[in-house]
Amino acid sequence: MSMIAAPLEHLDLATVLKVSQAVSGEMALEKLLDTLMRTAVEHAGAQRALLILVREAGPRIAAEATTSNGMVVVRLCDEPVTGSLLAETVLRHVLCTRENVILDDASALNAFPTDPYIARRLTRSVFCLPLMNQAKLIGALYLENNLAPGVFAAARTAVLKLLASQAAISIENSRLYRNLAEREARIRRLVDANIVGIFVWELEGRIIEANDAFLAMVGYDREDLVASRLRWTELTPPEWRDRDKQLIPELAKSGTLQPFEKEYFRKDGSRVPVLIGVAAFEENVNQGVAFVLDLTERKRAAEALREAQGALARANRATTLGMLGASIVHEVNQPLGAIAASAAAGSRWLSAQPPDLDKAQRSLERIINDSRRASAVVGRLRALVKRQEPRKDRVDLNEAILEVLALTDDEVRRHDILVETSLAADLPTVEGDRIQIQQIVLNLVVNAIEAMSAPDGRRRQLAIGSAREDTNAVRVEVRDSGPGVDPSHADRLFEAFYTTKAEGMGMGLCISRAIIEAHGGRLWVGPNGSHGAAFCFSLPVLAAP
Amino acid sequence: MAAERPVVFVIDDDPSMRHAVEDLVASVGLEPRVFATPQEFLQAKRADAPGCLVLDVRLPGASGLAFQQELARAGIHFPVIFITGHGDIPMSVRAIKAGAVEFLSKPFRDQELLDAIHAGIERDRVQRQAAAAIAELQQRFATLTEREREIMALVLAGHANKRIAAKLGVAEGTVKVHRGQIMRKMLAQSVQELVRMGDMLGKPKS
Repeated sequence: MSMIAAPLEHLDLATVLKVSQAVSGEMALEKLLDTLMRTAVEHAGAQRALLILVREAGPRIAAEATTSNGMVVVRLCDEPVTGSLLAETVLRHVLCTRENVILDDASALNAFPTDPYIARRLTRSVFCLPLMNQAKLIGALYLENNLAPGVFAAARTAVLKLLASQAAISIENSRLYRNLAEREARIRRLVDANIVGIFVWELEGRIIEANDAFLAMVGYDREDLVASRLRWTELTPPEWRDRDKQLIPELAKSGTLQPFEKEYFRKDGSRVPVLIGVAAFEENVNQGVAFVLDLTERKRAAEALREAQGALARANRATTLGMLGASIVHEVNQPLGAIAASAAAGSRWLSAQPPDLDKAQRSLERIINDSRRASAVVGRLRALVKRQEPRKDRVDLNEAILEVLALTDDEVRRHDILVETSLAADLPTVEGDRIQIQQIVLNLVVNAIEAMSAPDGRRRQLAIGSAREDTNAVRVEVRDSGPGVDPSHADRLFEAFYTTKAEGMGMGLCISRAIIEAHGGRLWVGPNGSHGAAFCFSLPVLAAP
Repeated sequence: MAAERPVVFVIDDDPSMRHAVEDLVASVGLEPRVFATPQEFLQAKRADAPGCLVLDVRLPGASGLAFQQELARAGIHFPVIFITGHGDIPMSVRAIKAGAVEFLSKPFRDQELLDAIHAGIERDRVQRQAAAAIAELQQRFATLTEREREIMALVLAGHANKRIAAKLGVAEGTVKVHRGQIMRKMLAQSVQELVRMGDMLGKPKS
């Protein structure tokens, strides 16, 4: 064994040039390895050469060159290093010490006596040298000749050493190049898949690059992009520009912007709602990439859903009111009948001889009161039926409940139901849409009445209560003495189109829950003691101003 | 015969309706008495005067129709006028069959209600007169002896004195004497009148 430090002048210039050409000309790793192996075998006079590359999992054989009838055959592979393929102890030594090992007559000198490969194959000349790139070990070149000892001369090893270090650099570069190409391909795939819109921006406004998906979103074509006619600042409608400006410091600080919604102008002047996420390039905060999702369809679907829900809510309300039809007629007729009777009485008091003005006056006063009562009933009904945008009022829940009870009063009597109210006197106001909340109370009361409509011999009792739930919320309860709710169906009750009623739509509770949740509250059902159901909802208390 | 002013009883749980009807009744010179519930009415002292009942069919606790039946069982025979916010035809048919004078839907014309009230009072007056007449006849009938009642029944059945005598195994003359007593005690001028009285008494048993 001897360490070789060959002077440069001993180098075979032709070989070096050949390899250098190969290395610079061949960026593809397979081609490069083929050239390297072939040259090494030919130049060094080896019978067999192995290229070992150090991977994360350990050294692997990446290529094998063998000579057969004067021909060099190079085989690229990826195999584990084993003692049956090479003198493993020699390789380990090289990888460990990062020094060349030359055995002039391995089997005779018995330098690595424990190596089973040398012993078995009667290996004569062995040359193994590390492949280094900037002090980093990337592999080893292993050459052997079993025919003659001392094959690997010092001068030749110097060339091989240079060759190996050249190759090491090339292999590393090639791997980097390949990694880069893979990453580039992946990114290309992402961009060209056109699943999301992607563009590369400059902070001052220019869009440098964009994929078809983004161009299609904003209605421009590639020519516009190439001609630098696309500026994100100009695509942004004026009312969004201020917010964009406010986001820039955050982008500069964290390098990214969490996805947010905005709009862009299309080329035709219309607008497209988008969801956009932004990342600045690491090396230059003034440039970056943006990922854009077209929200048009989603917005349209959401709007359609909202409208459908609104329509269903109105239909449901109309159905609920329809069920109260007879009661409502009664509620309106009651004051009208009284007005007619009082007017007739008043007219008689006036035409009496002598006219009784005091009594006529009293008749008229009653007429005034009953007219107010009638118009209040009509007003309540109109409010309940009419299409209205949700409002934010200060709502006195007790008042709202009493109004609903006035509407359902006759229905309750008709079903011979005893109503108990326990309304907390100091209930704080809540914020929300008074009419919507009343619709829910109405819905729950009508449900309770229907639940008790089948005769079962029990006293029919409807209890309506309001109370403070805690410091932040108030609770309203509607309890009935009907058959109650099967606990296993309790959650399904709130699903759309789930109904236990013959003519029900199955929307009442679903819509009620949606409304309550939109108010920041909860709607749930539980048992009412041993008989009946208790429907409860809570609403947040209006914070003191 | 009672000589008091006719009384109109109004039962309606709705205060404005109750007071409006009260006012209307008073404006035509009748005496209204108003109640919020049937119980209040049943517990109230009522003067022995002709009258009628104005009733809302949707009363708390008991429907108007059920209350009508309850009145009959309690021996209160005032004609009933129904007022309702939402009467249907089957309901009104049942009410009329059960002896209602009128069935009015709100809003009703005042004259309709007043006509019905007057008709009701008139019907009650006739009923009361008939009832008084019957009571008078019952008193007279009570003065008859056992034998006289027996013979009266046979007379009302259309039997001649001879036949009655044979049936009872007495002399025809004896029958004649009893018949004279019957006519005198019952204040009947003729056999025909006695037959009418018998009808009013509802075929008194011998």
